[in-house]
Amino acid sequence: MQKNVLQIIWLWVLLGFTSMVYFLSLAISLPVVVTAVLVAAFGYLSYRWLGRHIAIEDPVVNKNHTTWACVILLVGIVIITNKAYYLEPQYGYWDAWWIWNYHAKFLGHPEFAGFLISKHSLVPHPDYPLFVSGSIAFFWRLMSTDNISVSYALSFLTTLVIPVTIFLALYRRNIVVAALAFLLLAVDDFYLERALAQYADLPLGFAFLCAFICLENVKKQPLMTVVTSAVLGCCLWTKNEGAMLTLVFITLNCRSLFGRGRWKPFLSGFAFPLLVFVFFKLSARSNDLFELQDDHTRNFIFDWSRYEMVWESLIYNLSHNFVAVKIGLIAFAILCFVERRLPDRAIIVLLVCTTGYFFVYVLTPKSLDWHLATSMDRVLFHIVPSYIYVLARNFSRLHFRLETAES
Amino acid sequence: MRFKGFYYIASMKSWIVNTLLGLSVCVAVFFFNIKFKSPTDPEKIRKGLAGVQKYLPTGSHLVFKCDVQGGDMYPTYVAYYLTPVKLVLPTPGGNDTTLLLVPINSTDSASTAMVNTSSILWQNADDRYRYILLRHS
Repeated sequence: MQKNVLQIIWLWVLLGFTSMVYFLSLAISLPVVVTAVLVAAFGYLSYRWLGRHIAIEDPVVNKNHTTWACVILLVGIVIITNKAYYLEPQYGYWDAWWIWNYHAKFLGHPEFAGFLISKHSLVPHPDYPLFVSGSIAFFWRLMSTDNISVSYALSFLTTLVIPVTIFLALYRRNIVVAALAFLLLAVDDFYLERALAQYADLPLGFAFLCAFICLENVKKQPLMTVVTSAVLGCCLWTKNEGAMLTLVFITLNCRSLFGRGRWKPFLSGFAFPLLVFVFFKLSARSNDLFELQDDHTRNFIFDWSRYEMVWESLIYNLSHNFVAVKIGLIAFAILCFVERRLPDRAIIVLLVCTTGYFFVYVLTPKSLDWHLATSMDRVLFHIVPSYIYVLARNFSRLHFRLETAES
Repeated sequence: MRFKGFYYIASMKSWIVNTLLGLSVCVAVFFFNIKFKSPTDPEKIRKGLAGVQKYLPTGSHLVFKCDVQGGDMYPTYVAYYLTPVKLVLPTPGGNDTTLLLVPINSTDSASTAMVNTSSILWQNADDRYRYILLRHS
């Protein structure tokens, strides 16, 4: 695995660990300095462990290709940074005000945290996991401020690392496809606006993307299972939907993740996030979508008009907001037909996840019109980065393969 | 470290990529602060509310009234800045404290009547609005 991709993934896992430890530290009233020391110790030890067991030196690649890659990376980063300046809202959009940054305000003050994490909480959506809010609150408390720049820095980092990681993970296989995937995201205002909204959708999308990248290396390096399971733990800790994505991912990749004694490294990366998630769920109010389920909503499964509505909304979003994914999926289907092969497991995982979201909407106890209009374009971003990566990885086999000389 | 020329810089070494990412985050945050240097609408509300917290016990419930055109987001700003105070809808005989936000030259009779029939716990004003915390008798 490439060193720089692994370093970005390590940073994300560290951020997830930070928010988990910070949440636990609130429960036992630990001073924030102690939390910071714990985080620093974990960061140092995990980085050393990665360096010893997993990290691979940067392979020496043809100089011209590497120069092109560097130029493309630089251009993409400049485009994103420049566009972000014009597209960024100061405090994010509605959900940032009412959920993510608002929760961070509670978590940033230990004396207020009880109002959020309680069975009788009156705060909107207190059951939402705390990757984003906890990370922001930790840095706010560490810096004794509640400056919105911290939230913005996190959302900008997410905006940046998604296309950059896709590019870095692919450019050695096929620089044209990698550049196309990278620049399509870099110039897409729809993506940039959603990513800079200070929501948790793109952080979840990034963690899920990392799981696919890590899984590719599990066969060559069994200890990558630790990293794979840790990023799945981050999915779990970012949004409730992350639990569904994690469950689908683990179920459909159980042989890769658990086979040949890999269940031990899997558990060593997954046990801590899972325990923290369960502890949080036991402490928090239950989810409104589950709370409102009854016989009436269960009958929605036989209401075909709902399927039609969700399908129309899905197609509308694919045709207007995720055109690249739509074209990519059609091209991929043609490729599979021409090569007379079945789609790979990663695509199947993503299709099952999409079906899962489909049924979440079909069974929603809220107004379906309202639910689709307010969330589907955001929710699809949980899986769109992974779709782009997996499709680009499939297309990268076609041409322009770089001659890579592993050192 | 010895400088090894253009190809070394463009070699996609991990430290170069990380430096690029770190630099762009710093640049983005720097320009974010420049862009929002002059007080925005939410910032003005935050300044207007400075000082009201000490009259609001932790976790208290508060009715917020605001008769401002285009002020749909104001309850959101107020709830955010006054965390952990909970904004609630008025119920007959249920709430004794109201935060009123009125344009500085408002002639709204309902707001005036409310101010006249309640005791003012705290008030502040900026160039646009008056912020008044009322306790109903």
